[in-house]
Amino acid sequence: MNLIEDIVKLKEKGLTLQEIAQRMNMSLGKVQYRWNKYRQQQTPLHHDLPPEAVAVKQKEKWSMPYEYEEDIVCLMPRTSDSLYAYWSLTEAIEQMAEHHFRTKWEELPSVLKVYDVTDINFFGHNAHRTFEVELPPMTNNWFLQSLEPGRTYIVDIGTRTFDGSFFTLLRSNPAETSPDPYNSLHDEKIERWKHQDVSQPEWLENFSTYSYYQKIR
Amino acid sequence: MSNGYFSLVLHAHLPYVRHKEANRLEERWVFEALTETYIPLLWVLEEQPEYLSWTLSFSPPLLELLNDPVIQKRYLEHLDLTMKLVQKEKKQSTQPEEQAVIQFYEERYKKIMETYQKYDCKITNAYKQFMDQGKVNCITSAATHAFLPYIETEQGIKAQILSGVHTFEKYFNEKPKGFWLPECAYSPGVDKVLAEAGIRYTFVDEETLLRSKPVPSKGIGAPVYSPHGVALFSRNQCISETIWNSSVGYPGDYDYREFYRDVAYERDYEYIKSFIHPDGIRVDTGLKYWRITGKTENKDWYQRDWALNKLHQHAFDFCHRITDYLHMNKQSYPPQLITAPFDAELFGHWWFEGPEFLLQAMKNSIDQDITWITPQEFLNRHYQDLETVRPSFSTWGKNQTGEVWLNETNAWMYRHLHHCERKLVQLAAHLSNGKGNIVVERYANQMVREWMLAASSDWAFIIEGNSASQYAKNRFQQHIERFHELNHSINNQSYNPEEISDYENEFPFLMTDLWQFFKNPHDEYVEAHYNKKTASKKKILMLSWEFPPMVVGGLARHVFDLSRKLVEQGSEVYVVTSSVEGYPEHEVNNGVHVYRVAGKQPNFESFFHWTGSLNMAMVEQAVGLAKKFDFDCIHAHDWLVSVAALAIKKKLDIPLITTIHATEHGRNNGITSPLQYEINQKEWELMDGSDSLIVCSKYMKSELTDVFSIPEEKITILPNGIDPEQIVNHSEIAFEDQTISDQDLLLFSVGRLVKEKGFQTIVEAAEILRNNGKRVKFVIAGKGPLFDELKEMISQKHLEEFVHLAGFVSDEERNEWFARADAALFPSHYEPFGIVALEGMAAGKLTIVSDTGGLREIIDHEKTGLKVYPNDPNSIVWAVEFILSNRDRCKEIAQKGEEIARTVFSWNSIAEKTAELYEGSHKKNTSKVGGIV
Repeated sequence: MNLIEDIVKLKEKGLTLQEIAQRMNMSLGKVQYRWNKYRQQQTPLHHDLPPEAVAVKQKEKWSMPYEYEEDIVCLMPRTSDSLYAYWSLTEAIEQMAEHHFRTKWEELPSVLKVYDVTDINFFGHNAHRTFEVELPPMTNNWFLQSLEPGRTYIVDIGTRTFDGSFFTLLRSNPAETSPDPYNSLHDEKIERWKHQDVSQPEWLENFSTYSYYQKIR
Repeated sequence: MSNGYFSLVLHAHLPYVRHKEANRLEERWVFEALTETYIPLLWVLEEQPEYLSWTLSFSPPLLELLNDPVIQKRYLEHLDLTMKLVQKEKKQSTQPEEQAVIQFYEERYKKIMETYQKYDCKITNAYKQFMDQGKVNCITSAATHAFLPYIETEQGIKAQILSGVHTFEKYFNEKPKGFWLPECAYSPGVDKVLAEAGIRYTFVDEETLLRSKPVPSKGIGAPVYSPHGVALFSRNQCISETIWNSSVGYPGDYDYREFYRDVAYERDYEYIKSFIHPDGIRVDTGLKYWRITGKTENKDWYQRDWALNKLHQHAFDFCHRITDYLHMNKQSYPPQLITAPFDAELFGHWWFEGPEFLLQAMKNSIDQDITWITPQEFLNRHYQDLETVRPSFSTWGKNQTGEVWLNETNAWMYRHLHHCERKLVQLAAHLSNGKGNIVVERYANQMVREWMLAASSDWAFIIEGNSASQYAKNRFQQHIERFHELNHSINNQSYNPEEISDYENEFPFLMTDLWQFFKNPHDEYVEAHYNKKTASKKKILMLSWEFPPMVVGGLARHVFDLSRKLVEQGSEVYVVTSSVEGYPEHEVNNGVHVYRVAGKQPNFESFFHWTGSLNMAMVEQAVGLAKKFDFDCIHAHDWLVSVAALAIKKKLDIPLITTIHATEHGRNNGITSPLQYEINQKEWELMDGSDSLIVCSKYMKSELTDVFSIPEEKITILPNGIDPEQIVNHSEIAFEDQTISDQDLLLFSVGRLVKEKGFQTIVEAAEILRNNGKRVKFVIAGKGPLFDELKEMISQKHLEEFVHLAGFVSDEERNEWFARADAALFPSHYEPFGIVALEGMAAGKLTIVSDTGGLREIIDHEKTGLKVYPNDPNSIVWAVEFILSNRDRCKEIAQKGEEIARTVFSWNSIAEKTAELYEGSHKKNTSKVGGIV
């Protein structure tokens, strides 16, 4: 009995059966035999457990969800004419929409709105161009196609008011489509940056320093 | 002297495939790469010509794998086993061609074993020796070869880049000067972190430069600087294609060794079973006896001398192409540079003869006078000759885009990776300022490791390509799940050293301090300055859509006065209100914390939906604040914050107290339009969802009980208060207006110009008085939708001399008017309370109000003021005549009114009672949270 315990211990340390055989001064065949027998004994053990015990065990293990309970829209760069957005909404925000519109969440239309915000300090109403995508139910991500190269976009996830206006629930980060090759021979922004006329780059740098406590005080 | 330079760059990388249990198939990736690439490349270095150098990148997972004692041991066993197979093969072989190949392998494996043992199984040490001799320049890559542009946070990028650099330092005792961007994936901002890590150069695709702003004047002929000063060397596609291209590249030549034929699949199971996977799965043994032969399944024997002959030809051709390219693309200054980066494993593993080809190309280069240069040396010579441009996002993948790593097959992965990053930032915030302990920090470090291992670009690539995709999916999922299990252990405080040791032993990767990368100075500040536990003062979350300087009705003033009085009496008040242009998002005003927020659609045309948008923003703000400290209760004001109040109540699980200042039903004397109906619903939902309600008068209380069927015991009457200081006129006789001082009597009214305030009745009264020959002047201050209508009415009746619309007045101007006036007049039809009447009284003026609503309760007729009938001009005429004929009596009434206003209606007592209500309110289980009705 002790023999197999030693084998299991060594195995857990990452040793091969061959190494174990050497260390324990046994033939490889003998170690293999013991090990296989041990494994055979281990597997059916689970079937002997009462169903509840199995269920509890499964409950403890966290498994990867379809999406998380968080309010987020993330827009990611992809090609010169496409971007990718994924999102999730918490029950809380769905309930706020239900409350505001006094309509069940399932009955509210789900809409994605795309804003071209190139070189704009966007506040919700000043995009160069916008278009809306009616989302099929149960959608939590979208590939945006046929966009213009070299532009900055933001997307909103929202719904519609009774008179058809778009109502924003969540807003994404900005993301860019890559410009076409040979798009410019001169660039003011890089000139200002090189000459230290600006302290911050005037273009989109993809990463924000994420802060758990978003705002001070 | 040649016309330019050639620079060879190899990038060696394998995902971290060390498993605790032996015989995992994926572990063989390391063995194969060692046998076919990493060791043969050492032979190249041993023999390569003097004064020639190239660049080799080792990814951190590969560095960890190659230096792992378990992997090293298992590789030796693997070599032993293969050599045994060679002997077995030798015995059974009868064909001379086959025997020749076996002979070749016998010698080769002997040499591999010798080399591996010569360097004590530490391959990276061998490379370091050659680096010290100047024969190769080693650099590194991101910690787990993550696709950097798809990392969400700067902290994540830093963790990947800096721990990559640290790993390199661990094995090479020096900092790398160059860095291999995984998949040549660049995006703006990556260069900032690289520069901060001390990296001088990296590699991008040709298109990265061609899509830059501006396009570099040398095109791809010279490297450029990124905005943050990292030199970007671009891949020369034209030269790379000679090797990369799967149809016309050299590696596809028929004389070269066939990769896909291995003895493992050619022998009987019984014969081969001890040399393949113990479970009986046939896996490559590494013994491949055939050449590509052609587009056929019938493969001929591998002829070593034919292959060597071909690689001489190809090396010659390669150098010729380089010379031609440099000749055709002459430039100065700097001279033309060809950078040719490849996956290292292409040479040897995929293209068996690759390393020998490289060696031959080096020898030919000496003869043909091609100057090989490393990026590092190039920068030493030409750092002053490079342009700065701003490149955009690009990769060396298909179409130079992100589509290989982000498409329908693998896009689902990023949600999970980003979630981990945010969780790590949150965890780092909690662990900063020494709040963690050594065990929790080990958990945090392991969580970073799990995120890193899941973030490896290999998984997305493999899943996209469908080969071994199950392994990639499993590995990804395994790391994500382990991440969350660790997180749960921290949250449940069930962490212990045994558990974390198990996790660490499973993937002993980058065993250094990692969680610190996710710290954020801002979060550390917050952690240091806010402490949830020690707070002793009550914290009140006040929700009001208006707050000074945004003053639409009396609400703003009310909330302001109540808040600062509460603060004075020892509470902490946090007001969340709407943003006002030019005013700060956060300020501390008289000790009150004021947060001004804007909805995501601050110009929403419909006011109703504007408030909906505002409410969402209010919740975001309130929930954000609640991360830092605990609120004791919410105090909401009117239906406009209904959605936010109920959502916050549910989220924070704290009592909700609501003051109902007025109702839509009361304002309109019933509900008629659909919008009024919606507002009415919001009011009811808010009342119903509140634990306690405050109204300002008996009149309002009965409205709530009668119209909304609210139980009486839920309602507390607290009058509105006034601050006499606010009424004091400081500018004695600021304006001397003859037209006004002529009059016998001046009556002042102030309020929003809306129908229910009854100002039109004043105009009608003025007409009667004028017709009676009375010299009475009415001044109406305020703005509102009725302004134009009133103005029109005045001009039609030619009452300009008698009724003056003062428009909006500041507090100072209002106080001046009070000071000048003989009486204050408030003829509202609907007035739940009537704070303005109190102001008139507090200013020491005779105050005339309609006998309605809350006004009725404030004034005792002919004792503390005068009452008139609402909507009755003759009643106002009566009041005027009463004043004119009872001047002294009126002075007494005014004095008495002032006394009442300053005592009964003082904020001191009202705030105290409000605070008592907070104290006594605990969430009542009966009150619901509003939703659909």
